[in-house]
Amino acid sequence: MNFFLKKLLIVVPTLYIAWTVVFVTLNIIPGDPVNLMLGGRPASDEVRENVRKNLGLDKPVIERYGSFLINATKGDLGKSYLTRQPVTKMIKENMWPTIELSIGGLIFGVFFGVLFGVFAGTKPNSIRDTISMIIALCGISLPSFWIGMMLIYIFGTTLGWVPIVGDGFVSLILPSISVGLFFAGGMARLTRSSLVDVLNQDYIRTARSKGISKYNIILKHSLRNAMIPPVTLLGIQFGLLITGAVITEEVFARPGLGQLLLQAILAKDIPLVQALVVYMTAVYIFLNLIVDFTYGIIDPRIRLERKNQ
Amino acid sequence: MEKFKIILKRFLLNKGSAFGGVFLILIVFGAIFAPIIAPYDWNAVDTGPRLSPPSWDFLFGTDIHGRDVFSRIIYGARYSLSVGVISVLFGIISGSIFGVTIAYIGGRVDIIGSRIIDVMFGFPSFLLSLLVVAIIGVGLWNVVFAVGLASIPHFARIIRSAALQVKEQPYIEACVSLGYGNIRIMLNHILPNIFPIIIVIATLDLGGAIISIASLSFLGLGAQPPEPEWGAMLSSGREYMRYAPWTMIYPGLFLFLTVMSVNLLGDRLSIALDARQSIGKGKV
Amino acid sequence: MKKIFKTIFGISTLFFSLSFFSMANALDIVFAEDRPDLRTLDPRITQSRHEEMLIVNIFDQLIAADSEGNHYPGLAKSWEVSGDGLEYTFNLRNDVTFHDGTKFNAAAVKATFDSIVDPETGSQGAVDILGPYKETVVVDDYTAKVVFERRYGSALTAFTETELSIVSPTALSELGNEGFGMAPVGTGPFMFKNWEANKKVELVRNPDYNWAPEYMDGSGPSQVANLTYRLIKDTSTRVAALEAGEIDIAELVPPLDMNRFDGSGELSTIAGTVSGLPYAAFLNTTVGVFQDINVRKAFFHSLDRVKMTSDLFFGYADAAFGPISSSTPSYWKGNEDYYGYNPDGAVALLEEAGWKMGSDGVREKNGEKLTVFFPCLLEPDTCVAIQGYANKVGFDVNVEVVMKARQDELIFANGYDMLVIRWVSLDPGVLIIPFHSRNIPQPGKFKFNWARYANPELDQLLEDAESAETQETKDDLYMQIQKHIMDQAIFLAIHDQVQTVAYNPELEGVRFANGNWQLRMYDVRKK
Repeated sequence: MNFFLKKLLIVVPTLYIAWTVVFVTLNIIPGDPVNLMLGGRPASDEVRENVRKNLGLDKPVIERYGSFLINATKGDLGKSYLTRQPVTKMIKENMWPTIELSIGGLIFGVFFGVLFGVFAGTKPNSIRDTISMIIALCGISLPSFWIGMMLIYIFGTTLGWVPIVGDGFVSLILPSISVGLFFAGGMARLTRSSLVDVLNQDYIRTARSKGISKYNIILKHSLRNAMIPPVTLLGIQFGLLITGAVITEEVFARPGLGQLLLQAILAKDIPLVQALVVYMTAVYIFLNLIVDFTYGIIDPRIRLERKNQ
Repeated sequence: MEKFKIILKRFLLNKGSAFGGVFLILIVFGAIFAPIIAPYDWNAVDTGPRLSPPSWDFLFGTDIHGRDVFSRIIYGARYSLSVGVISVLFGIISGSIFGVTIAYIGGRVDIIGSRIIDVMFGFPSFLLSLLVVAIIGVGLWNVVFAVGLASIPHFARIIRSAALQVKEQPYIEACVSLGYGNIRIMLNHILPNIFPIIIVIATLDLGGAIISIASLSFLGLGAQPPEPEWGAMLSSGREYMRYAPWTMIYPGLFLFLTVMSVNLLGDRLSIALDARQSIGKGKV
Repeated sequence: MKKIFKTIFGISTLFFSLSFFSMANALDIVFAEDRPDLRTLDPRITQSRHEEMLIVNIFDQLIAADSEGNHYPGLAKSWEVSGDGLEYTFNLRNDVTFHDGTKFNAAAVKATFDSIVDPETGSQGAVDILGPYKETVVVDDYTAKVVFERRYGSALTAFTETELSIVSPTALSELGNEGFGMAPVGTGPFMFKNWEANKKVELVRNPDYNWAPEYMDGSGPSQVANLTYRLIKDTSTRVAALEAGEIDIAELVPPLDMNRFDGSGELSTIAGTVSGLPYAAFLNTTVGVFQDINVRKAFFHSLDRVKMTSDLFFGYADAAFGPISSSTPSYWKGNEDYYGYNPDGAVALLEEAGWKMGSDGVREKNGEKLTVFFPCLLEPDTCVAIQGYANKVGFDVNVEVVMKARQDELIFANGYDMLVIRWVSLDPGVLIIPFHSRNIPQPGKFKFNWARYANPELDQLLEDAESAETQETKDDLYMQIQKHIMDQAIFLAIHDQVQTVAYNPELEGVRFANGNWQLRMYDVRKK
């Protein structure tokens, strides 16, 4: 069967099973949604009945499951217990800050990751390699919430270089660093090792012996090939971005999907959690699919290899 | 045995692993002998003046309750280290059982097992941890369980493919023909062969697990007051950041150095064992 | 020549004063609100003090009240109460319009109150505040008569509450309940303009506003042209933005910062003691060690509430002693004579109750440890401080920082030894909800009597107090209620709730609404 079609056929059931898992797990959570809606204030039975009516919680579980799957496919996931707004609307409203942050983190990560990776990989076992890799190791070892707080403390509170609650590009810098640091570290390490492998390949040695300049080799030949493994990291990166969004949005007090998810989970706002998980798993699975596709396109050997597996 | 010596030699003769090793030994030592090393009771309110800066009396200052931050960090090492190790152990043991079993039995079991792994991979692992905490509730041990659980698919996938390779070896077939029991073959013949890989991926994952648990504690889902877990210390120190930055700087620094040491060890182990399955073959 | 000069002078004066006028009149104020997750700005539905922070500035009530709780004419010029206390007749202003141009009249009052008691609305606060509401009769265009089923002693206070704000009936029928909460229309000094979820809400001044209550300094439209609420959850961020001048007024400023601003004069501050229930803990009388009243008393005595409060709030909050805060009407001074800091007394009580000190510093009795499970929803630092004090006399307090959902589970399961609470209320009538035996929670029925204390005598007192005829009987009944609660040692008040506000020192006229939590922005102006 066609490689792409086969992949696609695996993805769809995976998605539905994942959604079922979400539905089942969220429906075994104990707790009464009515109380969750009422926050902390005293309320009469009358009030409580009002709320219960509004939520329409009387339907049997099977019926709710069926309509959940159908509605999930349609992209309509009901209303939040807490805000009573359509969850899709809430997700849309909170999407942009997270996308901004993710792109910011991605740019930071790719730029510094490739920079340090190439810096190190082009001269293995030198001092600059060692230093670059120590920095990369720091990148993957720094807890993002701590580095976020330190950045705020140093650049926001103490030095006053960046606006605290401002909009726009400048206020995106620190959160992007906080999100992108781990990625940059991983990227640098992978780029380096991949580059070292490629530079040791026979055809590169041949090219060098023919007197082609080193930079030409690096730029035109080796880097392109060496970038294949790091590019696949982009797919996995989405999972890291969710972590990053939850933590960084909390630390930097930014609105976004991470905050929405955390609040929804803490408040057990089930429709909202369901919707967020449905979307996140869908995006995650499809991004990985796209990465697989591009991978297959860049390097047909992989298609064959995977087929044989 | 000869091979093992070479590996050990390669491993020990490296500056990186030396640094990581020394720091980790210090931290473990501190955690074990915390009652002797810590100058004060980690939980005693009003040990010193509130929010007082680092001094000879209070090496890392005091927090809002007048507790000694240094003593809390030393005791906190007990939590932060052990929770990471336990969570990884839980993940790797479950992942090994699952991965080895489906690989060994093969056929439909393998197909279904692999599909389960695929589905679990549909969830980004942090999301999975958050969901698990949402279901089983808040608490340090719940978070340990959640992080361990979320790492199972990753471990299971690697171990399954490693076990598949071992399974193809002629001597396993020989064992089968000799009539050895399945469990005996898995335990005595497959597992020892993939053991180095297990050690490496577990070590490589440990740093991440420590950070994940600390992150969840930071979000208020893990350790509970007055437990001096580092993530929880950072969370409560955050509000006093502008007055007492030391309540935030030192716990984070220890967390960072610990994770870095663990990562260093993981890197060196994976290079020393030349485990191809390792993900980040960094070099220091 | 002289004439021309005079004209030029006149024009330039006019121009100058005009420009000055417009300058002084075009203030843009940014306020930092600490809750990002606002859900609705519909006063009829909300039960959140944070949502009301905005609502007080968009709406007016029939009776206006200043921060002390004194009543003034609001949308009603005057009112009369019938002899049986069942009918409240309001003589309404005839010059008021809603932001959408709808005329304010008796029909609007009726529409508002009738919709509050309609279950479809899903009111979470107003329906309780409206008490035994029966109906509103439109006597004529500008006379509305509100009728209650039975005597309702707190009615006048209720009509000053933000929840009973009058809403535009036109907007209500056009937008529906949910739409209205997203784009509220009232008669207040500010009009809703825009809402960016989790980020900010923008209000603009109502140019037609000419009915400010008489306790306000200004009249006519507010000098604040644009009023933006930035939703910033993190305290440090809020304060840093305030200091950087990115915002003008911030709420819930940490006491340490208040202290610093007061010292440096860098920013002006005001602090309000919130009326209602103080920050306090219920001790569960039905399970665990607190079933024994002596153990409860010992726990009270083990805490140095005065020092604890000053350690945590640096002088910006006072220790609390009674079931209601000292700023609530009918507060009883006698509360303060109970349960002072007395660790020796605590030890004596525990010894007498048979709890002997164990080797690990935790007391024991018949092999059982003196353990207290303390799920902590609010102020973890205060919970930790309580833990520290109680530990000194031999209690082992297990604090778990919980979220609302987890606390609910524990309440249903009766699985806690103590729980903390606080809430804003203008009237001591709130006490019936946490102390009447009918309000003991049951599985599936969420209620607020978390001490699970049942006593017919107290029930009767609470019911009588609710329909007390005179202020004297009301005060006396609430005194007896407070005394009863204190004698039983079931409700451990810790400290008054405070709202701490810091603002740009060039501003003046920042004032609290009744209850001392929300801020009325109408009077804010440049010095």
